[in-house]
Amino acid sequence: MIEVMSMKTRKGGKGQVHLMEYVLLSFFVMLIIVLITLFLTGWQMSTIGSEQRKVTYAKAEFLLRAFTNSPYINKNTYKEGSMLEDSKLSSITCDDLEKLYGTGWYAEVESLEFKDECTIDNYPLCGKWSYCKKEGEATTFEIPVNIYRKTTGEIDIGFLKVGLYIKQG
Amino acid sequence: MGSKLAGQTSMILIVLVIVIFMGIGIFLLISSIKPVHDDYYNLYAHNLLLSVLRRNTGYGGYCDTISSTISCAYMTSYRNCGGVECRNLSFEMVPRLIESVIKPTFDYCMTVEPENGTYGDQLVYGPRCDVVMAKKTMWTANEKILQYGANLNIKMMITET
Repeated sequence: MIEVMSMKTRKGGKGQVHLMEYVLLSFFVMLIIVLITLFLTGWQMSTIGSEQRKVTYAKAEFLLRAFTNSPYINKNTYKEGSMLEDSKLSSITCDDLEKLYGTGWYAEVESLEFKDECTIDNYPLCGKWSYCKKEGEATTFEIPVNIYRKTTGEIDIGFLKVGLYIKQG
Repeated sequence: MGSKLAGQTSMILIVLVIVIFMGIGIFLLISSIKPVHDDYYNLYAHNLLLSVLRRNTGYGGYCDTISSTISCAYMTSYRNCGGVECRNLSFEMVPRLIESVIKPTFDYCMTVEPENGTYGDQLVYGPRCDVVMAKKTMWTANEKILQYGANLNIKMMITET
C-alpha cells in the first residue's frame, strides 16, 4: 500500500516537472516570436528611413546639378557649368524655376563677399539671390559655385544652397 | 535523467537562436543606418576645386586667377605678382580661400603635379594633408591646367574631420 502511494507521488512529481518544462518552453517560444516581430518591424522602419534619405539625396543632387548646368542661370561660355551669372540670377524668378523643376524646394545663391539680398535698387552691389519661400522643415544641401559679375567681368565665389521640404505622413 | 538533458538542450538551442537573431538584427540595423552620400560629396569636392581655380585673385597678369597663379608657381616660380613670388603667393592664397569656402566639418588636401608625373616636385596645399591621406574614406576631384605648354594635374581630396 505504502509502495503504491510513493509510486503515485513520484509519477505526480515527474508530471509537474514536465509541465514546468512545457511552460518554460512555451514562454521562450513566445519570447522568440515577439523578438522576431520587433526585429522585423524595426528593420523595416529603418529600411524605409534609409530609402527616404536616399531619395532625398538623389533629388537634392538632381537639383544641384540642374542648377549648376542650367543655361538660364549659367554663363554661356562655360560648358562645365557652375558659373552662375549675376544678371541671369537677378532676372529669373521662382515661378520660372518651378516650371522647370517642380515644387517642394527652395534655393539660395550667396556670394562669399557680398551678403545683401539683390533687388533692382542695389544690383550689382549685392550677393544674395533667393528663390521660392522657405516654409516648414527642410533638408538643405550646399555646394560651392562661381558667380560671374557681368558688369566688371570678375569671377567671384559663392554657395548654392538647395532645400528640400520633408513631407510628413 | 534523459528528459532533464532534453530540456537543457532545448533551452540552449533557444538561447542560441535568440543570440543569432539579435546579432543579425544589430548587423542589419547598423548597415542600414550608416549613411552613404558619395555622389553628393564627389559633387561637392569637384565644385570646390573648380570654383577655387576659377576665382580671380585681384593681381592680374600672371596671377589673374587661382589656376594661373598655380601654373605660375609651378612652371615659372621666379615671376612676381604684386611684388610677391608666384609660389609664395599661391601658398598664401590657396589655403586661405579653400578654408573660407569648405564646410567646417571637412579637411582638405590639394596637390599639383605634372601630367606625366615623372619630373618636378609636387606642390601640396593644406595644413592637414597627412591626416587626409591617412583616412580610408575620402572624396577626390581632378582638374587639369594647360598653360606654358604643359599640363598640370590638380587633385583635391576632402574627408570628414
